Amino acid sequence: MSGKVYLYPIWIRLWHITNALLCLILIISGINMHYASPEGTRIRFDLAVSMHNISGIILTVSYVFFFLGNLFTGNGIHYVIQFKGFLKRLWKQMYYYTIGVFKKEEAPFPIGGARKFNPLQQVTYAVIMYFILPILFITGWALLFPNIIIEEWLGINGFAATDFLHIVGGFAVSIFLLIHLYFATMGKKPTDHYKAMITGYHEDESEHESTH
Amino acid sequence: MMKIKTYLLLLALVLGTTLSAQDSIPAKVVTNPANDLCFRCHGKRWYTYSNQDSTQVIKHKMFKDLIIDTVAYYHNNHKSLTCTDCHSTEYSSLPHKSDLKLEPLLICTDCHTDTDDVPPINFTGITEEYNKSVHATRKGTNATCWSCHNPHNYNITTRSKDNLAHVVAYDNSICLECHSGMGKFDILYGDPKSNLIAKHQWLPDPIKHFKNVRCIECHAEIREDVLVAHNIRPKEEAIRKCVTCHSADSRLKYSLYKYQLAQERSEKGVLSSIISTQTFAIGTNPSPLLNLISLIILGCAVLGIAIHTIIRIIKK
Repeated sequence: MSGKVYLYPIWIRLWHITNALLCLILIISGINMHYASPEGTRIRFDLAVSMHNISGIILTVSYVFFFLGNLFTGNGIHYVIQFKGFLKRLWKQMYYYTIGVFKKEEAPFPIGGARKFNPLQQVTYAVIMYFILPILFITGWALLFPNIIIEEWLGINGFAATDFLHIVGGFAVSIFLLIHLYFATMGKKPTDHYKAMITGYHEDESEHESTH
Repeated sequence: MMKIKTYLLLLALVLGTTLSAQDSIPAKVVTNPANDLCFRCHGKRWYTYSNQDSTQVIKHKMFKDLIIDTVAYYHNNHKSLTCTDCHSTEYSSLPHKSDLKLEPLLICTDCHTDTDDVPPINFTGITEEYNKSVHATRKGTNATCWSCHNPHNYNITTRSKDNLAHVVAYDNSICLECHSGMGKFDILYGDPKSNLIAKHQWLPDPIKHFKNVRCIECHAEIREDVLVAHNIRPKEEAIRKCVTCHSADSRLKYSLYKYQLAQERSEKGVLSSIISTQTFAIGTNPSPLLNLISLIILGCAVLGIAIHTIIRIIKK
């Protein structure tokens, strides 16, 4: 029987659940605003706007908490990509997810105390957390205070361009969330990763790696 | 390569500055000498005349409503007109006869008739709509066209597509002339009853709305064949449902954005108008193409997950 490793300290688990709930509210209210219709029976528009604005503001605070947490604890290191041989490692992980897993092969980058993310997770999380989310925060806050938006640039309406970036970013996060929820079922048991995000303890898969 | 880039950047800056400078040069104002006699008194707050018997120069304050802003006049749509084109020619003699005060004033449709202009203003429709509005039906208003459209400084903005913010500000200023309630007394004593912001506090951001849409968007009934709605409804009938404007089939497309959208579609095509227009409000312009692409991506993700799950179950 393999041992367990304390992988997710309380601050990460609290941030993670807050982040997940806020993203869900933002996606639902955002879709409501994007597809608003007088005949619609979805969330009332002004309510959706308030939900979106309040959740967005709290998410920004939550992001600052995450950013500082990563800066001042060892957690940030998991997001740093080692570029040497990265594409090879990424390919290995993709091969595992598309073919290897069905052949009952062992995960090429098992999770343990030293490695929390496989290469695919690492690149996806880094892009979402350090590229897409900052775009969403900048455009979101700009839409909250539209006076700061450049009205027109090269014939393009500043408001429409800001809104476009915000919607595309929001869509990217929505797709990420969907795939993230599915890949979270890829543990030894489908509920393993979910349980780990509640208890903080994850099966030390790297033990298998050392006995190989 | 860097030098070329720097040169192009400088060139673009110089050209941009020159072009914008050219835009800002005011056109030469052409005045009409036939109006000079009128404006000698009516263009000033104080006017003087000589008593022919005593040769004494007498100075009087001009009644506020009879003062014409001459600068605004020579920039307005009626600038080519001579005063006596609309007012009696008898005003040419001084002092004016007292019975001239009873002279009936013209209204817009005495001169303006429906033309083939595209899109048509439809003066007949405007008259019909106006006669149904609170301004015409409520007792004691005594409103005429001039109550809102001062013929001495009026600039039509309905066919302006270059600066929507200006259209909104100009048209709203017409309403605020009477409805702001912020007369000098109110400003001094801060009368809360006249606070428009407080009355519109139910909007998520009243000031943002005031800057970006006209009062008539919510307070007037739209008629398709009339370019600018004139049927102002009682306040109880004002629109309070956000999605009336914030939706794909936005009411704004039939009012504020009507002319701009028609122009930009004919000039640039439907696709370009999506990103280049000033006609933007959340929820009003979801692009059908982007919606389709997002649905395809979402469908592929769901399908991929479904296939992966099925194979996982089979290979278990």
